Amino acid sequence: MSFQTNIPCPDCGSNILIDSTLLLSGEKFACTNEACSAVLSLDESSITQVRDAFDKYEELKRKSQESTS
Amino acid sequence: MAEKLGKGQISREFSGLPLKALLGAPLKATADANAMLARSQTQFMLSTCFEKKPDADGQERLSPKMIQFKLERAVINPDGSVAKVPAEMNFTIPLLTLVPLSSLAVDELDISFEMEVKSSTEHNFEKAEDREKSADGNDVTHPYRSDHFTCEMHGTIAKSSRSNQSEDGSRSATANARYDIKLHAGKLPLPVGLTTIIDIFSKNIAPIQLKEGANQAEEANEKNKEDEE
Repeated sequence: MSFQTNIPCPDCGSNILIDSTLLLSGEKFACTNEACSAVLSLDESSITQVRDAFDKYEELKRKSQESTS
Repeated sequence: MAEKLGKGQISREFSGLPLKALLGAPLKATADANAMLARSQTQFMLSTCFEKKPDADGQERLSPKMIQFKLERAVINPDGSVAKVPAEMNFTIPLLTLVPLSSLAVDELDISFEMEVKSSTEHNFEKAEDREKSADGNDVTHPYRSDHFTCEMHGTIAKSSRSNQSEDGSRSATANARYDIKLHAGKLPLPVGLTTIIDIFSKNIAPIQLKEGANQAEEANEKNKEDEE
């Protein structure tokens, strides 16, 4: 299960929308500012670290939904 | 049997209701759930997005875990054409800025409470002899006889006070009342401290551009160090 997040573009400051699943699969994300040509992707060295954090976040989300339903 | 329930009587029936428990208990449970969520989120944030590192004094301090991104930017050649190979650079951001922590909270709570005040009477004409027969029928070793089995029916007849009031107002069996209560607990924003940290992290993603004067100052500092040596 994926979720969306965003980080500011290092070049122009506009938002770059990021999908968690696509990010882990090595997909590249372009800046939402049409005038900015920045494209970013997750470096391979950090994929494991980010995947672990996302998995824990999903587990936290699932547990919280179970406890409040 | 006829009974009369007026408006005053209905309100008296509701006067003894433990509304504090009826409404307070779900609200407290929600608040507890929110507190549990906040605690879980804090634990998650500290254990997943931070790591313990010893500082200069040898004491362990929490430092944000950093992840590395690759940034590609198009390069325009002097003749105006776009270069085939884009410029690449690596930059690191805190893992904390990627995880949407603010979306976990109970944001709505609805309590619907319905009560029906009903007056009912029950007449029991059961005889001791019938009970004995029924007990005999339960024994599986006895020969089967269909007349030893009995059938019981239970039911209530509810009459609305609106449809059953006669001119003299003497007959009314039931009266209904309904309370609808809605409580709304809004989503709590992130604490200011955490928002500030995330803002600082986000702003520091941008590369620092050194001014010409700053470069000269750095060169001057390096020269001074060389002279001192």
